[in-house]
Amino acid sequence: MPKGGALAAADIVRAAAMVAAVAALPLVIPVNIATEVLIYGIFAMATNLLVGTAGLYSFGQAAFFGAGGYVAGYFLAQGFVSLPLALLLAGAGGGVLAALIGALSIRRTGIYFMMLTFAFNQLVFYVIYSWQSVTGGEDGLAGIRRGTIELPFLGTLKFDDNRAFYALAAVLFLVSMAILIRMTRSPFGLVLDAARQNARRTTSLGYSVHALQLAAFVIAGVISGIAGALFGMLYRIMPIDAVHWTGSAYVVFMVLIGGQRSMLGPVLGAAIFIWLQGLFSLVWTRWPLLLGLFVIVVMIYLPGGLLDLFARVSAWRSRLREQRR
Amino acid sequence: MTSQDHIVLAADGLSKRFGGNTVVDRLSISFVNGRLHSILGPNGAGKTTLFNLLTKDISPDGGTIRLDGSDVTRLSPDRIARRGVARSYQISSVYLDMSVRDNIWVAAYRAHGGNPLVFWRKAGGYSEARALADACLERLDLTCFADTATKELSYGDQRLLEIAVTLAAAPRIILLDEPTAGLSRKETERVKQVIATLKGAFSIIMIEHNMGVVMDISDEITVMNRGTVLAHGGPDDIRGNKSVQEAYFGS
Repeated sequence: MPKGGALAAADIVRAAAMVAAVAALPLVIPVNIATEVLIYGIFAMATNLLVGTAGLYSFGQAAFFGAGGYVAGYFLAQGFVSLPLALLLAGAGGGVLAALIGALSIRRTGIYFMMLTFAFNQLVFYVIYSWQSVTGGEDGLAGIRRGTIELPFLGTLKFDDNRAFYALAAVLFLVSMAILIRMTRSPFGLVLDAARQNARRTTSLGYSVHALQLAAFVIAGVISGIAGALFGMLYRIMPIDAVHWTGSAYVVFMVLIGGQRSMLGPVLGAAIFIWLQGLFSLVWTRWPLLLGLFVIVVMIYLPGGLLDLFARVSAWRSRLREQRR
Repeated sequence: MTSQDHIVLAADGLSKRFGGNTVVDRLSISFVNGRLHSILGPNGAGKTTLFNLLTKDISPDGGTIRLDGSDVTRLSPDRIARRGVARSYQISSVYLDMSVRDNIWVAAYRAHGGNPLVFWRKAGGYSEARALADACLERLDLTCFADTATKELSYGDQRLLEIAVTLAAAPRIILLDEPTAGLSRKETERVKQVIATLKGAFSIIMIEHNMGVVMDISDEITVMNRGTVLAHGGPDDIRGNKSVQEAYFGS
């Protein structure tokens, strides 16, 4: 089918542009900030599977980010060095916690779902806060090492160099993005989208909507957990702030700032959010106020996020071109 | 009714209360295979609530529902759907943020036993589901809108799409909740023709206010009032029924 071929070609161009952008990012901004952008990009894309595709406004995603960060961090701080195993444990930690919390919240809709995920986030925060012997309590979990990957023939890959660690984050970022984009276009993604628009109708077509939403919640938990593990390794500490509910709010803000209609939106949102956070914190100690104002302005004037802005600009330009003709 | 007439769906002593209000009151009704059974009644008679109970969108406070003779009173709505019961809604419930084709594909995919836990393959494929989706579009004359965004369809076409989606679920029993509500005379005629062509191949239960449609194509009619059955019979019996005239047409 020629149409299918053309579509695939457009996808390849987009994928190549994304790889080039990821490769160029550390040349433009400090490498650790670039790594942080990618890590939060992964976290925001996972959150967008819930917010944008499934319509599940979870305000508890920091719990899964934190679970992954603490599980992998504990493992690596204890002297184990296997990075694949650490990431696997982080994904499992985020996924299992998401299965537990999701099973108890997914049947509630709207504000009740939001409040339940928020409350569970608080619960996880206080468990980590109080369990000082393991988690380091309010000081955070320190002494996290970056781990290594043993490869046949190539030997041991180390990530102590920040550029090497960036490369690791970049690979995981691109893989997560490919998986999530593919997933949103699959039958699973289409049915989730259908359930977001009308859950009752989707049930009446024979779909077990809650089971599918729970699956999405667990998938988002796994990916968020892996992002959390990378975050712990980046600064070699898992700060308690990373599991605070404000982290859950921030990641939803990232999704809303960037736009929910594609996986590029949350990534843009994460980049801008982190850049603004840095900028505002230099200018004023009360920086969250400025950040809040920015989020409000975006939500009022650009309800579709920055992706909406691009769409409007390109529509405006094509109109201008037509007028000139 | 002869003994060969197989009852596909039946309710026995079905009740539903909302607060102190009994909306469906110990109602018993049965639907015969392959017939078009219309349900009439004034607003608030409990017709839509009866539909919601039969499809388990809501749970009854009492009574039983039997599908092909087996008790399904405790089944979840998606299980009822998978046993071959599909419905359309009074308020359009098409997916506005999707193309017309995707709307139908979601139904057709499940009807062909498609697994929603497929993460990697592309939606919209699967030749069997696509063939069924295309056939349903064709049947309602919607083929020209296949790639249109659903929110850009006229209200009338959205109502037709709603019926097409219901058909794409490949049911044996179809529940239509006011299929002609809000349609122009021309569109109403089209929907009536479509429903007439479905007769026999499906068991159809229809809530409808348009008397012309009901009297022309129904095999059986049940008139409801205040949650109970007021009268039951063929179109001619109902037309001549005194208590129906009082309750429904207002004497």
